[in-house]
Amino acid sequence: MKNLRLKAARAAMDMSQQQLASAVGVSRQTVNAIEMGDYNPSVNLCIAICRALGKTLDELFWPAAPENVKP
Amino acid sequence: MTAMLFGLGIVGGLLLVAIIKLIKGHKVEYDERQLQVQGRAYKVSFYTLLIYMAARAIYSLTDAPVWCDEFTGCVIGVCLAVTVFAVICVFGEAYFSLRNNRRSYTVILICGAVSNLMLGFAAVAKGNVIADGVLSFRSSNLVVGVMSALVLGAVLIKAHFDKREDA
Repeated sequence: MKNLRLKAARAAMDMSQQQLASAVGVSRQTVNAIEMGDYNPSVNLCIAICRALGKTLDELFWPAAPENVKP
Repeated sequence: MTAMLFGLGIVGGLLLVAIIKLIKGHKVEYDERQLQVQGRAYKVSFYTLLIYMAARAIYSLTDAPVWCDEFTGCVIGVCLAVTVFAVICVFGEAYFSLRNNRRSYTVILICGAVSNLMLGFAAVAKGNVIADGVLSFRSSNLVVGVMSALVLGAVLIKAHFDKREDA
């Protein structure tokens, strides 16, 4: 599943994939793989990305609740 | 005697690389996704080597003629496993570390492939590659050259696809 929230947060900060990758110490391809949903990052990397983008783990990585679920 | 010198050359080369790394203290850096890809690649190359060794062992039990000496057989197995590992890493974006300069590493690969293929073809031209109807250790350069060329091909194909994606 694509992580569009991460992509949007990165775009809002006007950062390229390479800039975000350098900020968190990974390759550009790894950031791309996370955004495309091809790779599940470790908690440490999630935290590093959140810090770089000024967001919380919930905002970027917690899956959105399904819309049709009844309470 | 020549075979022993050949073996000593390989051990000497490995020692040289180890000493250079020790002196330079060069620390390669791979991120967690790259290490995961490398883990998968190690697994596949391990099974490749296992299957190759099993096939060689079974072949040696049959009455089929011996086609290569022990040294060459080992070199082919190692090169096969290394090629599988490297190609998986290249296509999984895990071959070059975060610090590596891709262009300079590609140039090193080209030099390795060309020099080994040249030495290999020179041995073929001299007729040294086959001794007593068996592939001799002098074919090692050819085998290593083919391995380097395959890895180089994978690097170039990947770079081509990356360029197309970026465009």
